[in-house]
Amino acid sequence: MSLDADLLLLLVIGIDLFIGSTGRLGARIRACALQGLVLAALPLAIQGTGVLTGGERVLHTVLAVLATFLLKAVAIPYFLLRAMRQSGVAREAEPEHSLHLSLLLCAVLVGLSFWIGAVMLPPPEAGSSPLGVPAGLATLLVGLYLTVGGRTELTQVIGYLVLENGVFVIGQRVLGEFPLVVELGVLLDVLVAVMLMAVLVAFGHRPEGGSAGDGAATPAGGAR
Amino acid sequence: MQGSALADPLSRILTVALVLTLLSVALFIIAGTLSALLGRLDRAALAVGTAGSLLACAVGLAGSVMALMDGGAETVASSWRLPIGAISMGIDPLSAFFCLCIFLVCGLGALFGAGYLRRGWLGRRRLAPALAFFNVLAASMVGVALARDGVLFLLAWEAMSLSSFFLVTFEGDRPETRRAGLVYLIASHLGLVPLIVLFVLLGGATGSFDFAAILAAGAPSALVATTCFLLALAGFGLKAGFWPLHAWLPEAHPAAPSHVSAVMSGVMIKLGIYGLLRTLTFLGEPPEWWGFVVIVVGIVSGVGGVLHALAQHDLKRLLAYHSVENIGIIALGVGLGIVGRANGNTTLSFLGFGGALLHVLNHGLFKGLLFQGAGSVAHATGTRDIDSLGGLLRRMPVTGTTFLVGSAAISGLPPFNGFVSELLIYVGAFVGAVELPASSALWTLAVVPALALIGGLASACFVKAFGVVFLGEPRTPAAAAAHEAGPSMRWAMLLGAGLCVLIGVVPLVALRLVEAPAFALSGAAALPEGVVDVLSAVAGIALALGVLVAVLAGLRWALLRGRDIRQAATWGCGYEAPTARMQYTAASFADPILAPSESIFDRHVHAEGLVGYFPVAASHRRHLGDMAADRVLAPGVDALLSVFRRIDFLQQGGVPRYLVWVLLTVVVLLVWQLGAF
Amino acid sequence: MFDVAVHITLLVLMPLPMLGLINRVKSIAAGRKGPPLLQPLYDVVKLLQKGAVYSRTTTWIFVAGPIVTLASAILAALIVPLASTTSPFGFPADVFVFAYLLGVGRFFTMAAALDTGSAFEGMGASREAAFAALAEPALFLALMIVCVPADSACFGDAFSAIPAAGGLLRHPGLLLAALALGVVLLAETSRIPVDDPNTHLELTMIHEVMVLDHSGPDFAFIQIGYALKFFALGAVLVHLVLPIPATGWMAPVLFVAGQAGVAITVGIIESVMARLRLSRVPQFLIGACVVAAVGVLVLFTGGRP
Repeated sequence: MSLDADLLLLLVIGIDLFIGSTGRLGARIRACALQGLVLAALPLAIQGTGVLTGGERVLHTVLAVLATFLLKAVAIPYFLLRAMRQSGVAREAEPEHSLHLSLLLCAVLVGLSFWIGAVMLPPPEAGSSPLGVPAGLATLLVGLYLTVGGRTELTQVIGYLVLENGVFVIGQRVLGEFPLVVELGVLLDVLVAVMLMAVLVAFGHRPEGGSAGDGAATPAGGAR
Repeated sequence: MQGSALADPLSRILTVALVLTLLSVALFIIAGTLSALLGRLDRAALAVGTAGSLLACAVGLAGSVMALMDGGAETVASSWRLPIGAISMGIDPLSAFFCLCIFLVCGLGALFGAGYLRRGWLGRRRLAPALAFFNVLAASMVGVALARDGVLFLLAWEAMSLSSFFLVTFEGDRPETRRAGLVYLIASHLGLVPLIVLFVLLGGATGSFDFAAILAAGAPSALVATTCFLLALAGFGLKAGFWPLHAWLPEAHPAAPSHVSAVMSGVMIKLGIYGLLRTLTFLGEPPEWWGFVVIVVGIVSGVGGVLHALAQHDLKRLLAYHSVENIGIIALGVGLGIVGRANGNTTLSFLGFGGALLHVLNHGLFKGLLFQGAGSVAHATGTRDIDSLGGLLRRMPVTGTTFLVGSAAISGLPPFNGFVSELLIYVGAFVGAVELPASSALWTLAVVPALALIGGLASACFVKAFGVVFLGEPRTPAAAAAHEAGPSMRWAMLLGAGLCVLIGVVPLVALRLVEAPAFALSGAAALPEGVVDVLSAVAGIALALGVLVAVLAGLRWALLRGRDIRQAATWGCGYEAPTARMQYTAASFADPILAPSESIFDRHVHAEGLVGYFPVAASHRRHLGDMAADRVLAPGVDALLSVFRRIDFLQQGGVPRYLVWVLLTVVVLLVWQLGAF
Repeated sequence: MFDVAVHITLLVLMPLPMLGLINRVKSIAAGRKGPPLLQPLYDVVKLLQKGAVYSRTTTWIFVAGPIVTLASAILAALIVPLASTTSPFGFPADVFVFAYLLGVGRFFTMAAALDTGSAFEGMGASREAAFAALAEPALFLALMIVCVPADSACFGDAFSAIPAAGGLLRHPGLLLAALALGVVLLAETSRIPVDDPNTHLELTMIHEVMVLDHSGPDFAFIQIGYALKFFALGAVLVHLVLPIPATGWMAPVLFVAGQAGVAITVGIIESVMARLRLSRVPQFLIGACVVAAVGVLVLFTGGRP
């Protein structure tokens, strides 16, 4: 309905692609934070000034926006960055040449979600952005790919966060409003998971299978 | 049918055209037989074989151009009766167009071959078989294009495969050539299996293999049609070199003598496209997804072919992989044509089929030219290894310049012919994107970036091939001692290059050639609006480019007149003792492109040396395994073999065991038959 | 006729000073005064007055390279509409011809580089080939985003349809097209972050190293051709971002301002960014392709206007 929402949703897709194409952990975490910020702004863009004049739901929406912002854009990224610094895991998540493949795969996932959005689901009701479902699906699928394909705990958790952002966008599109209860529940789960992970990484108790040079992936063909 | 065709005054031209093309087949066969009979008299065989081919090509060219200009369809049942039934031949625009390509490329090939064989092989090898089989190959290709029934089609198809097999194994005393020949023979016959099934299915409905009867019977049911389409895609695709069925192509084409490679790559594989198009005419209105399948095949073949080509060090192997790429471009056009057909959009359909057909002709011309250039380089230097050549443009100006024309044309650059056909496909894809519903439009729009990527990579590959082979300093003494090709070879290459420029500069002539067959395939009745405008504009741009280049060259000449022009060594960035071996090689040139695709392709790097402070000898070799052969075909063959090994116990070589099998079979059959009654 | 005159005037006057403007922006950002805006023009004039030195290795290809490159760049710049929505050479499907004309120039520049037999120039040509091949799909996809809604693959028609569709900000697909085209512009004209035009180490160059051996008028041709290429691609970008009217005095003003904006933006990018490591450039270009592809998807999802 509004261009702002379209642009924000495009930004969400763009961040998905960026996360899929960069090998730097720090950049991925910051991009995640930016995505959280965009998600927090999304209800404002969709409902416009209605947020402030909508009667009893105003408080509800404003609280939800604030909570989303604090958790997704501030708290979780902060923990992740701290964990990254303290654990001293390699900053490069993936070897370079596999990043081309990763980017192309993410592009395919984005295409797939546009296709699903256009073909499988009913057209969006008049007035809502046609990008909502594709953007949410794309975020969800890219997150799934990052979670499954991640080589270290950190990359997996980042993937999980992205996936969760996708759920957030879709929920918002499907329910047409801020799915506060569901959302907060999931968010708290994620928060706990991230803190647990941060503790694990920071104190060196890495679970089985995540050791043996996983983090120290060397950039192939790097030194030129 | 015979009588009525002759009585109709409108089709008299067509009848003459058919007679002329049939006459050319006869001439090919006579020339081939005579040169075979001349046996040990190499010079005489060469003269007779070449003269016969050239005459046949001239006659046939006249016939096919007449048929194309006439535009009608004609079938004449021959009186030739075999135990399997009457066989018939005929000519229509589609046949005539492919005949035109065959005659053009074979004519240039025969001209080139005369010099190539005389200079390269006279006295070292019997030439008669090469000439005889060349003529038989040409005759059987025309036979494929003219055949109007399944049996004759398959017979001609088989004659084509076998004659080209004998040509591939011309240097049969070399083990790699024998291996290539074997791969080719097996691949051809594997490809025949789906085709036999295809014609049995098509003929099954009517009980006749005659094309006219199949057409008259109307479109088969959807299931049969789809099966036929997939069979044709597999069988004809194998001959055409669709990925991943192309694996035989880079083995067989480099092994053949160069003028034969030119013909095989230039037209023989295109008959696979002809077969696919001919089959489509039997299957009624195609569903849309066939077009999508062909588009995907085209994208994969195009990109896969050109990436593999970039990694090659052998000039002819590189060209062979480019055939896969160009077949991919043709498939893109065919796919667009099918999508247009399915949507009833004749503009899209015309542009797709027309672009594909024009690319068939164009690829025949420039690929023939390039293989001939590669042949004269190999002949002049004794090697086809790109990295041992260099600096040949000074030593072989005609070969070098014509190779440059071919390189620019195959890269799809204006003002050469490759650009015209690619432009038609681009415009077709764009028309599809604008006029079709979104779900189809995205498929046709996918052609645009794919073609752009293919074009960019092809351009990179041919800058590499041309630059490393012909420019710079010779890397080996053999390259330094190179000499220009003989007169007949030069003429063949100049003619080919001239045709490439001609089609690029006057594209409307080329459009006139593909018009009739494209109308027939697309169902369009008139030229789509705007096509003539676009192609006239292309002619204008070509002209403007020529004028601008001339003006700027004049300006440069005027500016430099009377000024100080010095000769010096190439700037070595301060290094004073460069050697020719320090030049950038083909392998290094391709590295930045292949490195990003490393995650997709298997690159084998063998590096040794460079140890310690004063390394003495070092070597570095890179080799890109064929992905289709290594990852698709080899595992498939392994799986098949493991199945066969399971049932290996059946065949032990002992007669008693076999008797038991026979007995068992009889018992099973009896039980089955009795049970049925 | 007036339009053609304006087109030719802009074509003659603007391209070289635009390069000067980039250098000026970079100088100011670095706290220097910088060379005059017309310095590239002075350089070219000087080069045109000089003699030439040719390597003994080279053939006629080396001489033909700059000529063909310049000729194709001139044609390309005549095809793109400048301060209008028409151009002297516009015709249906000219966007494809435009892209391929740039390809002709590139082909001959690379061939001329290999003609010298220098390893450095070969290196430059090889990088140019690789990056150009990856930039090509992005360029075509971006052009498609502009052309498909206009139902015409002609620059003039496509550009005149943009304001009707609401311009850049009403049209998220167009935004992505502009983004991808910006990357293509940087890659095709060898600017930071793909290539550094100011580098002094041959090993790290792309465009500059390909033309190391050219001198005198040949080198002047190359410089003019390069400026025209930058100008033509910049013009496409300007039309995407600014609604240039078909006629009137506003058109040239807006166009010149837009081109200046392009030059200033490139100058700022070059001042604040470092060039990417060479092995990272493909990822950058593939990213541009993906952005453009998403733009196409957005275009089709939003319903073609």
